[in-house]
Amino acid sequence: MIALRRFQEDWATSTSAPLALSPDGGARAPESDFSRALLESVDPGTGPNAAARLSAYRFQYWFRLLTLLQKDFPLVGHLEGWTKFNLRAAPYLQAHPPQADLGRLGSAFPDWLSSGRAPSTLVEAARVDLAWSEAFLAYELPLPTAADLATPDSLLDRLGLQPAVRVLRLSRNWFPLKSSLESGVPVPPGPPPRQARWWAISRTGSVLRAEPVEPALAEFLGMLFEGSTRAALERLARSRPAAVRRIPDWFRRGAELGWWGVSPIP
Amino acid sequence: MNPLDRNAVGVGLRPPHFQAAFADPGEVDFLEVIAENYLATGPVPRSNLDKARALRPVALHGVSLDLLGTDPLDLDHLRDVDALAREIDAPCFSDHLCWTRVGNWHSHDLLPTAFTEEIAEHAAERARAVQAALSVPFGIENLSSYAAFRDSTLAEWEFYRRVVDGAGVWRMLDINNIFVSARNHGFDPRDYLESVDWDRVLYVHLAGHSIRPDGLRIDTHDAPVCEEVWDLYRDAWILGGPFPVLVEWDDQLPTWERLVEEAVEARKRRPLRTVSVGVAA
Repeated sequence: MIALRRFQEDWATSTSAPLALSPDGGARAPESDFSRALLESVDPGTGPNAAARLSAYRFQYWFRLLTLLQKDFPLVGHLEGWTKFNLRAAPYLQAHPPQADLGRLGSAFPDWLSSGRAPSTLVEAARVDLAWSEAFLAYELPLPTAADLATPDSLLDRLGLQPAVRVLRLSRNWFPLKSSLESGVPVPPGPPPRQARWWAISRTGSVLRAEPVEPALAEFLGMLFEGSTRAALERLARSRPAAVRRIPDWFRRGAELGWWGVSPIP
Repeated sequence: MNPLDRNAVGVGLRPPHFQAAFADPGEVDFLEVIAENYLATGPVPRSNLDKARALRPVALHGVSLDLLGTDPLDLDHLRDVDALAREIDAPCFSDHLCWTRVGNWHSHDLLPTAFTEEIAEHAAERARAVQAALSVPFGIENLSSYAAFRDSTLAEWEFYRRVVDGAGVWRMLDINNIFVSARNHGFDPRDYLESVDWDRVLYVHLAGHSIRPDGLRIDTHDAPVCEEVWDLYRDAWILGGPFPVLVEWDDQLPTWERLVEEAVEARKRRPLRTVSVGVAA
């Protein structure tokens, strides 16, 4: 199977080479990108030549990946336009080729953009897009019952944030624009607030929502990401003793927003 | 023995159709879902699969087995597929006669190779291992392809037959794929149909495809079944019917009701079989 392996490696290299842009803005798969051995292995028969046949696979590969990334980063695409988006996405996809799980295709895109490749507004939009799609795909822990929440002490070692919850510090409220893009009616983002705000993204069923949260709550949610609820409460009592009295309110609000889940394993 | 009723008609269930399908599944006898979507790391909430299963039997269809691959089979994946099949009491599992990855490169596509005896034996050995890991019947789907290879020594249908028979597994016969490959490579699709052992067909797939400006047919699953594929389906039925049939539609999705209409059309298009009756002199 050595020859088959070599053929497949050759195919992978050729197919994952980015498409070239034509002067009219269309995409091309130049014949020179395919190795001589691969081109010669194809029997063209009576129809299109070897390069045209191989390019069908190459177009499908790139079309699939770019479409998925576009779907996951609608804010970025809206701000930049899809042609520019594709020009940024192609080198990203070359540097981060797809793994078995396509759901994680864009997981490094915001960080990749942030390393000097895009303005900060675009990086922030990408972080919002990523958080949103991660929240949508996250698995769901069983919800606590009303009785559980009435006696949180008994749950402290098992109660935690739902995997869908994401906390972001943002320079503007991106979410009206994000919602309008989903519904197909874009609106421009409002003016940036004077100060950045914290936001929590969460999901109930298949409905996503974003809520502004005060800095102390954002800090507490961050602590919950890092450890158990019991440990987070102890840390909060040390770092922000005045905020401890807010905890019952936070638990109630979080319950309404679907933040809390109960781990089946103590 | 085929786990599906040989007159059954089914539809591929995709997430955008959940709401409509759960409200009224219509005149379909079974459903098929993409297995990878519902495994542990899959993107679709599992509760939807449970709802589908409550309505109709659900066959599992895979896209990442890599039968023609040269990396080791993913046994964890097979274990997960088998667990899922047991949980939903799936009648069968199928995947494609193709390769999908090499090393760290995942194509997320269904890719062809040359058709040789050596590669057929390689694939049959892997298919045997797949069936051994599963507690449900395993079917291999024939591929549609856009490139054929000079190294091929076997016709596509002979290659397919060697893999399926060599492994002792089932066929998941895609008639649209036969038609697409026949047009792209210039063979007669009826030669393909005549090579099929119809007793070993789990079910038949029907789907739509598209045509590029240069004439290449692409298996896009984004259109109704075309008349030429319906004709081939009729020929298949005359040769080997009855067999279960399922309509797939994966892109430019129509409404659920329209998709069910396509499945109903598959039921209507079945010709009455003519049976020769000998008369004793």
